[in-house]
Amino acid sequence: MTDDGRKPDRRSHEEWVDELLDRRADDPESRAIFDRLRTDLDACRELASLKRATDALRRTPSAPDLTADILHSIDRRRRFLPARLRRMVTVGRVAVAAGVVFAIGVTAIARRHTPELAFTPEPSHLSTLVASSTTEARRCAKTVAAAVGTIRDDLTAPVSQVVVVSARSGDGSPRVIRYRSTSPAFDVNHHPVTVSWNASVPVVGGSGAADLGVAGWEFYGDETTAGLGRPTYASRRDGPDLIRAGLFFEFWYDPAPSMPDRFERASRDIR
Amino acid sequence: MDRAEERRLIRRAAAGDKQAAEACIRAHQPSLYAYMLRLSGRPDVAEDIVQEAFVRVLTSLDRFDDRYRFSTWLFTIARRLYVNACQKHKPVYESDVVGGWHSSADGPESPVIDAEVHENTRDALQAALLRLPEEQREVVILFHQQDWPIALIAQHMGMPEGTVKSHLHRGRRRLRAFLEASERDTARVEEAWR
Repeated sequence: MTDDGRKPDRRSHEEWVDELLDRRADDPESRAIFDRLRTDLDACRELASLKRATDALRRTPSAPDLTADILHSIDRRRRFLPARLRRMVTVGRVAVAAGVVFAIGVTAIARRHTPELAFTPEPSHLSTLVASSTTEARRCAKTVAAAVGTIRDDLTAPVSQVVVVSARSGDGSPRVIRYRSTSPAFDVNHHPVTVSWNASVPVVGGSGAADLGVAGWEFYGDETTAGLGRPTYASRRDGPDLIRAGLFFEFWYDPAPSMPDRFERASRDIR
Repeated sequence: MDRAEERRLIRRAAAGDKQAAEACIRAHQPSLYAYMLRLSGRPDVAEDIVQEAFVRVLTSLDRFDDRYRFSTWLFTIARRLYVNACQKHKPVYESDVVGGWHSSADGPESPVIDAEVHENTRDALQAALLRLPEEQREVVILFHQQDWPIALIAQHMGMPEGTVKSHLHRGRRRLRAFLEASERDTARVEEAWR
């Protein structure tokens, strides 16, 4: 106990110094701390050296004047427009944003109440398409396979692709070549599936160059895209011009898978 | 500049008054530059950050909450820019990067940094500051150079007041030790030249 009955303060002189330097003590407290430290040489030395170190920090280094550079940078960002112009820009931005929000809202409401206004076509039921075409596809594949076999025999040059002109009958009776165009799609599990549809081209007579010329049929097929989304078509034309016949065949083997096993493209120039 | 005058200036600057913006810059530029220079140890970095901080602050004055001091906001933006710059440059350990980019002075590159600091800056105080860990350095600068109270420093640095005090006490003593060591070195060099 001290003389006045209080507990003695056992803080170290470092703590007293920190209290002074931390600006925690008010004036009377500071005076009391100074009185306490005055008798302690180490404490005085500690306080003096720390004060000297921290006072050095108060000497601020000379700063370059960056005002012009800063104002120039702000000017480039068009900050200092007249207030009226800035208000107009703000109003314009708000109007555009409100317009966009309004358009989105109207569209959402319209689609909700009248679903037929949908902007994207509804996807077809893949299972329906596949089911309806399977039987037809099998029959077609057999016909086309026969035609390809016939025409392969007729070729003299080696071919890298199967060349098909038409079914060679030689008996002059009307024939129908069935072919199928394809387009890529995805099933519900995102497996690639080829959806197909059928078309037919009537051919009268045989399929050799002379026969075709006599029959007057010309087959147009876009070699790069036909068969993938666009049905190949055929038309009649006269004259000794180059006749290009091109068909795109696709074979489905039994049992018919949901995807084609093979895709054979065929074309041939005929004179 | 008192609080009311500062608010008036900021309102005018926010309304597009170039002169008010200029007054704001002139009022706060020296202290912000001193803070950044002492923190980074590099005048070029300090200049870049001061410029960018003012541009950011003055172009978004409409978001300024005038319950707070403008200087606090400005220093917060500047500090964020400095931290980003440090992170961007962290993998670089080239000789032209003086220790300001490193938080520790105990690594193998310390002698190189020390030598460069002494040779290039010729500023014992700056050299001593750069040898402090980053957090201690910032607390010491904000408290003793900028006269910020401990509570504000705690808020600015996102740490409890007790941690700030602890950084302050340790940082102050280490700064003193480095300065005294530097003075002894200088005295020895002077002695050798005589």
